[in-house]
Amino acid sequence: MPSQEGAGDQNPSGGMPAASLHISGPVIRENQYVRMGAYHTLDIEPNRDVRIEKLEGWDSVARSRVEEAIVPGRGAEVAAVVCGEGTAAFCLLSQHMTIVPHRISMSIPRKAAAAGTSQHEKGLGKFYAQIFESFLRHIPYNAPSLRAIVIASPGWIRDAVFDYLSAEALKRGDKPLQKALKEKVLKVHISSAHVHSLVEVLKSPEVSHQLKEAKFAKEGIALDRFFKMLGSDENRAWYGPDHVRLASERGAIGTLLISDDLFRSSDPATRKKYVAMVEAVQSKGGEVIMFSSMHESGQQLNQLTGIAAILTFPLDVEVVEAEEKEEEEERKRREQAEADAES
Amino acid sequence: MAALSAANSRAGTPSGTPAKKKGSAGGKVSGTATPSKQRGMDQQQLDISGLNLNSEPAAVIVEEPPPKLSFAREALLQEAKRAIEVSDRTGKKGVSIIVIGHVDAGKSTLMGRLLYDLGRLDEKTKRANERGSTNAGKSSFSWAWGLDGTLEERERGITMDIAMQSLTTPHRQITVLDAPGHKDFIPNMISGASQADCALLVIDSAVGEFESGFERGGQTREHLLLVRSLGVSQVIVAVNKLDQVEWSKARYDEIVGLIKPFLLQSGFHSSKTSFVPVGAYEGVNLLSLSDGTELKAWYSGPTLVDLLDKLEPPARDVDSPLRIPIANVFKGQGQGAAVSGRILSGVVQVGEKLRVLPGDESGIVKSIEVEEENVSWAAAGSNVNIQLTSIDPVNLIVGSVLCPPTDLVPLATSFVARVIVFDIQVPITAGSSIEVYHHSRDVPATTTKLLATLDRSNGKVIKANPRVVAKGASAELQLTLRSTAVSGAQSVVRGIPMEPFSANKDMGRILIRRGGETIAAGIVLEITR
Repeated sequence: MPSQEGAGDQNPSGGMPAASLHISGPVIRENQYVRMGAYHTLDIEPNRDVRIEKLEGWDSVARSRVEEAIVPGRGAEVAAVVCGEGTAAFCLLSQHMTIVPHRISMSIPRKAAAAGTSQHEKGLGKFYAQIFESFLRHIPYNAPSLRAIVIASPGWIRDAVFDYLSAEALKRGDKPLQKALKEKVLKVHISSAHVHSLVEVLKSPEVSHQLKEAKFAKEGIALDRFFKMLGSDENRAWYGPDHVRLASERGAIGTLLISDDLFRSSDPATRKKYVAMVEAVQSKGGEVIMFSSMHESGQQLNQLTGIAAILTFPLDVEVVEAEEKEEEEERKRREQAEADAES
Repeated sequence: MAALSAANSRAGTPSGTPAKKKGSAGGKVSGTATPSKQRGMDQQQLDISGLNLNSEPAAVIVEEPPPKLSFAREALLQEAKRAIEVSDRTGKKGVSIIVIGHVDAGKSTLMGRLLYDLGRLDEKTKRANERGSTNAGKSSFSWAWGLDGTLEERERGITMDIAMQSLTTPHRQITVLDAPGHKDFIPNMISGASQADCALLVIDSAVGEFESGFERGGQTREHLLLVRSLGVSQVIVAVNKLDQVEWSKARYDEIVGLIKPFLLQSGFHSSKTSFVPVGAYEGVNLLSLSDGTELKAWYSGPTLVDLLDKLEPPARDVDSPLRIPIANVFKGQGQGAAVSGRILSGVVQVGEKLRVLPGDESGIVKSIEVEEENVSWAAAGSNVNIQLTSIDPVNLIVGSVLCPPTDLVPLATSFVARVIVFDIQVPITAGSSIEVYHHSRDVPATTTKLLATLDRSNGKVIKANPRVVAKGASAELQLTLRSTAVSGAQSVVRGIPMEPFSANKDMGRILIRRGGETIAAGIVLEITR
């Protein structure tokens, strides 16, 4: 079987979930169908058996990823409409990723003495109508797997949007929509109308209570905990690969927050380093939360170097670094001494 | 209006230079030179033909000739400077003021009442507002309805967006911006504050109310810090609702005693702050304080209008290139669209071609309105409404900046800022997700690098590359705008128009917020990308 790592070429049908995966590369072990050294492309598709081997075997992180991925229950679990005055982002959150299928951005005249308020209200009316249309098109409100529809905004726009949706559903006699709105909608307050407020949505009590089991909810809560810890006790919240490694060596990590981006590094040594770190933390009874960078919380962790840790006991970064340096010097001195002794 | 008449009398006299400009700015004359505009016209024709308005096609399609430029730029600059000088000596100085304070302190009510007392709100509207608010069961909001115009604001009894009004005192022409007090609408308040020279802080003196507004998380503190960071240095503190504490002098003194040190600490000079007790709803001590009132028994100082009349407009930057951040876009009369905003620097005149940044579009100034009067030019410091033609209104977005095509504002996606960190719980780390506020625009951003923490007094570096920046610190940060895409292909981040503080003060001020809380304010030192 040809088994050379090749460039994974995603199906170009963007947006839609890819139904097949092209893998190409030169053949390194010949058989009767393919010649040695020939370039070959394989299509991996659903319902077709495939066996992928790695020279040194699969690491624990990769295996747990696969375990997670084969849990049944696909599709979006939560839909969210993040809106402000004149802007709305429709988001679909599933286990491993957030997609934003649609955005609305229109300028609504603000209230002004010269122009009166009628332009403002007309603009708002148009905006709500557009939200309604996009809602029908982009939110699979009928899907049974969809557990909640979150309408989030600062101010009271979420109430106005919800009222408009309900009124319009009633007017059109759209029973399924009415039902979905009644049963699934949660209105959540956020502080700004940007998509990154999704993190706020996920940690709000209304939503986190509903989604306690969902992975992405856990990520949001963990990230929030890290930042809170950073505020209350700087010595128990560390970030950055070097610092976290030091903490890990001292067995201080209670919760490790790590982005899956780090495991996609093209350098196998880097990948192995992080795998080893995850395993070390797990073996000491620490919790490891792997963030998906396809979620907003994962993006934020990526900004924060992609790795962070909440420690079980306070450690001063500077003290640890000083110790480390001393040790290093000590080691050098000893090596020097040995070298001297030998010569 | 000395300035206006002076401008009109001069209009048309220098005819040589403007003729050339007219050629380059004219939509019809040089249509081929600027393809973007040509496209705009075609689009318009398409739209119109789509509407089947074929009865009088010629009348609709013909673009009106661009208005003539009345001044060469140098002549205009001199004219503007002279006019400002004249108005400083004899006429009324123009000054804009933002009304700030905790939610329900009575900001809109105070302004509504003041507008009525100064004759800016007519009797008929006042009656209608009284009737309307009583019918809605909110009779105490009748004055506020003069400014809170939208349905939702009236329904909720809360100001949600900036209301702009103008009023005249004996020596001042004042543009009033009534800010929302609710914390969710701070973005709107920031948009208003960046258009103001001075601030009027309204304080609710009722027991418990003052305290809740002034404690941590109350808007009294946050608003004061915000306006100070945006360059406002004069503040009048109106201690309102004293009628609810029996006009107690002790209460007034207590409040003044608490606010004063905070003002000093926030960087307001004590000579530029003043205090005045008022009762907004009844109109006590706004214009005058009549004898026999309870307040008269212990207060004999200036009234609110007396203080407003003494506000000093800051120096106007007329010489720098024109900068107008758009605060509002609406449909004006005729073609194109109207924008409103404040001229931060430079001068603008009718007939001038202005570029909208970000974007590739430009439009021609058809008319300029200042304080509800049409003028042929306007200079830095004025809050103007500008009617633009030869531009599709979709290209005008709140937050964009108007500037001359020859002097463009740089677009920044990454820049270094020196900031002062406010009283925050969670320190700022590298990679924090924040929002950057610049005039009427707010964009998501990331602190890509913490460059240094600085000594607040002398600006010396305390620590380079710190791990975190804690509250109260002064620091240099590298900020980068974030792409708004969460997954999929990383979209290109669009820059925002911004200039270093050294080049243009008003274009170089930023505010940083996170999770609905203002965490830092500062100035742009350098644009890196």
